[in-house]
Amino acid sequence: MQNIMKKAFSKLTIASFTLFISLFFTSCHKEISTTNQLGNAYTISYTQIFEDFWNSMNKTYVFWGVDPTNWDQIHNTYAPKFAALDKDSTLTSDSINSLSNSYFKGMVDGLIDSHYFLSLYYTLYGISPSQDRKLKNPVFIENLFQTAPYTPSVDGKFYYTAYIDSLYLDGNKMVGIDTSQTVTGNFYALAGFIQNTHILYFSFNVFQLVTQYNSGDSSVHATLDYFFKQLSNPAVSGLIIDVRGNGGGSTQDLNFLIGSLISSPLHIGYTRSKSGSGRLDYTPWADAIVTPRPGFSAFTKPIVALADGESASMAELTTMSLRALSKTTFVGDTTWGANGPLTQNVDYNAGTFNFGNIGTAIETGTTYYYGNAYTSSCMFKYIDGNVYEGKGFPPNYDVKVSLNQIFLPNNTVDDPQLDKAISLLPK
Amino acid sequence: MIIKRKLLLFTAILVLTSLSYLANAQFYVGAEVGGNENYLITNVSNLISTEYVPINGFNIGVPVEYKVNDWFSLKSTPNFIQKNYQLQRTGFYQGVYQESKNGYLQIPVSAQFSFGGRALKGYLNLGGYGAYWASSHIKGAFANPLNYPAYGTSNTAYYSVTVFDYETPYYYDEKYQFNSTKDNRFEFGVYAGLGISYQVAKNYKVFTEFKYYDALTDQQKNYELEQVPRYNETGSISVGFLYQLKTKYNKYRNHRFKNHTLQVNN
Repeated sequence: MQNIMKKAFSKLTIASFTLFISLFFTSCHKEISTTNQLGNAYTISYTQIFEDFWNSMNKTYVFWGVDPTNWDQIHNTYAPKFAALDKDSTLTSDSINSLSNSYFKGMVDGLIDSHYFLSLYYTLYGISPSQDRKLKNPVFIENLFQTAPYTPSVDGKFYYTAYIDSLYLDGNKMVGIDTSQTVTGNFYALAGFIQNTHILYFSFNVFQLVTQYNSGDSSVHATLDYFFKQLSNPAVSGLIIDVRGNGGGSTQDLNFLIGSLISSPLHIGYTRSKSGSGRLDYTPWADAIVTPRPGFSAFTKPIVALADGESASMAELTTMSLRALSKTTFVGDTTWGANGPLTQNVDYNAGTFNFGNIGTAIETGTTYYYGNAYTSSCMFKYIDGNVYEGKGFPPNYDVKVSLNQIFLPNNTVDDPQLDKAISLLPK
Repeated sequence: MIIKRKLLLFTAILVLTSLSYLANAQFYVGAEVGGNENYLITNVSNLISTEYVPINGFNIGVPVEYKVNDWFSLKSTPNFIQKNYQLQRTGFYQGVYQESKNGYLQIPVSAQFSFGGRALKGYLNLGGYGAYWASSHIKGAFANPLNYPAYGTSNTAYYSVTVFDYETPYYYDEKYQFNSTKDNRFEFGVYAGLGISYQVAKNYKVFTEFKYYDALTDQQKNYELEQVPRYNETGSISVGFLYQLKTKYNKYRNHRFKNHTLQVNN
């Protein structure tokens, strides 16, 4: 009896084993699909363009960990809307373009990345969520100057440089101008002493310092040399670095400018990027360091950083770096709030991307896209532990300005923020 | 009425047979150590020059075997097992990587089918497991976007081969901070093992076993639309020993052996 049971069990075991092994190894071969590489998906419908954009954002946008936008909800809301553009035969091409523009705007409106710019090539439409938010603020400087009696700047700033030159600086000032920059506009640098003081002043409109110093106009080179030479002048009582209206530029300028004020590495914060295609796949935080410039020693006099709501990107990182020095005060207004470094997408599998591949020209091989999203590749966290992206870096002395304070009745102008900066420094 | 009687008789035979098996059962406990290789099964084809590769780990456990009869046992080996992998970039971006060493507390439960001779036996384990992702340590490098060499110096090679010829690497070696939104720390899966055991002494046997764990649950919670899942698949080779405990049943059985010289097939 036991032998019969044993044989039966053995046969049952072999059968079970065979079945189990089959099931087991079938389960091993998991088919896992994913989206295409950026820009590779050939799109022929609004549904596909939407999905390509949504997935690319989901994968490469670096602020999901801190951005309040519910991207899944955006999908649920807008997927049917884009699908309707493919199905509604009563819509004209103009109305389809108009609707798609408004849908894209609705999708990205709340993003905190303040570098973010969505270019819809196909419909010739651009969306800057941070610019749109700022223009809703009536005291934002661009709004303020909508009704100004005149715009006195020659360098892209609203009212600063030209008048600081004539009204605030003494006769030994240096002005450097490079008009050969066709893409970024004129480069403008100004260095000198505030009249009747030993306060050194330095301002420039774009972070192209290294490029300009090495290959720009000779007047710029001379101005920069003058400024750097004065840093070691023992008579200097204080320093004002003015990045108001400066929209940023190359991060290499950090070591060039801030590196000339320090003698040991300066820890200013942390950066991180994406480590995978999941929305919350992040690298650890890497230390953001400014490295001293060979041949320079620490600047030990008090410093005022001047920045405002038009100071963006590198202008903000520079302001933050200066604030990381113990003797710096920040005067002006809360900055733009675009701190995340940018580079090409492939470097971190994050950041700027094209979407909606709508075809490749046979003759030239050029691929055309529905649009491009210009967005940060990394997130920046300041040394105090805060991410100021979308919020802006707040000043120690918040000096709001009005047109009445700037344009005086005697047909001249004043700069209340610079006045405050001067008041804080020894003369 | 006849059916009821037959049913009663059948039940009685079943109970008696089970008790007979139970009386014959042997209880083993031991220790095992091993090495393993873990594969993260996912899809990163949408990331440029990026791949996951397996890396080695170790496992240590306490096998518990409940031998029902000569060819069938129930087995469980509560263990600590590493399920490691590495995300790395290729081509120009080689040198950028993240090694993840993940520690799991795992409880497999299996049916073990033995075959072979009296001392040297082969066996097969089939079962499932539950695991808790207890720890994770990450080590790696990526290009630091805000840490350039001093102005006037450069780490740019004349002929740049990789990203680190241009950019300063950031190296890290730290405890991974779990993200409660993203990380699914409970894992369930199936398990198969093939091994050989050798009865060294009356109460000892040693064994070596190849085990294959296949997770059926995603390493991530379902936190985003269009999520690409990630599954662990782990192959390990372990060696260990098992010691036969003197249970009450065995004592009782030994007592009966002495007093009644009862023959028991074992």
